[in-house]
Amino acid sequence: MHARLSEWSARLAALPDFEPPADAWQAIQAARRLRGSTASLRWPSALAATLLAAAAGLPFLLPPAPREPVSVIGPTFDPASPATAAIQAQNAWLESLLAALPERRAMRGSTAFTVSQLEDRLALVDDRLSRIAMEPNAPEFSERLWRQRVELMNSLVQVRYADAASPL
Amino acid sequence: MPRIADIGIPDSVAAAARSGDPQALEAVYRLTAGPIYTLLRRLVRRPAIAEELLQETFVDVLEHIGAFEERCSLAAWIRSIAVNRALMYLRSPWHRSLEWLDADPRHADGLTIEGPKAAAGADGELARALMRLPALSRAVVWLHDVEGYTHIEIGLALGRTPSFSKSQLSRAHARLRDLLRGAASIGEGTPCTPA
Repeated sequence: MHARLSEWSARLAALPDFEPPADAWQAIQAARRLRGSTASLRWPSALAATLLAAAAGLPFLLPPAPREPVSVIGPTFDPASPATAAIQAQNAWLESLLAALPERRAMRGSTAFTVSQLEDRLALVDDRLSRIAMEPNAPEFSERLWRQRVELMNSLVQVRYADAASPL
Repeated sequence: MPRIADIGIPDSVAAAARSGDPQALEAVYRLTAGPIYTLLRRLVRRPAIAEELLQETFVDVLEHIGAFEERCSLAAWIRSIAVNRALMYLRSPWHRSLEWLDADPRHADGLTIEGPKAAAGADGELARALMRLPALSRAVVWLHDVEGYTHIEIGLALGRTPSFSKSQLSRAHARLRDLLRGAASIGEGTPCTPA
């Protein structure tokens, strides 16, 4: 039993190491500064820092080619509370990250399906947000919807980022 | 590859890093980043997510190193942050929502491309088999077999019992054996040159 365990240990430990990205230290320092200045932005800020720090090495971020408008446009809503305004700012930040990601000509079918599902759910949330003023308890309800929207946007950015970062 | 906890960080460097010295902090990063990134790549399928977790780990290190109390080695402390980050991700709804996507073998293989020192032959098969394990099983295998965690420590990290860790490890080893046996039989049945 123990001999088998140590055999697994030896074989697994002998697998090759991975090298972290060359610019990771710079990205970490940038993310730390960003985390200090915008404590409310967690994953998105780290992702943004990665993108910003990696901009020099990522050719797709360099050419300022004309782009289609962002595929998912957030609804406009007069914030009823500072909390909602902060969530909206986070949402806008995610929109800008999404816009910075490259549009790939081809995408895995399964990834495209995930993206499509996320976009459908975003559309549903947007629809409800556009009719929020008529709802009772509109401020609380809108804050909840905006939180949902940010979560969906976060997922969408991460799927698109993972897709852009991996070979097709 | 030595266990991360065994990485030697000179006391003088650790002390300077704790006081916030930028050069010492970078030195700590240079000494530990490779093994920590390897750990994350083994726990998490997606390279982009592993890079994010590496970044989050070291941002945490930079922010909290002043509070490090030397109850373990500095490298072990950094490893515990990375492991917690990775397990948080693996338990997140975000990760669970992508599991079905990663279950597609073609997709999973694309996500687990080895680094420049790519494993070939038997090592390559083992790396691929490892990545085909469910996320928590893979974490148990790596933490126990490579990083030397005890079942009690794994249970605590996962919010489960030591028995859960033991049964996961046993099943994961059996699954790895099956996968490797399957890979070997495919190799035997597909000659490289026509008869």
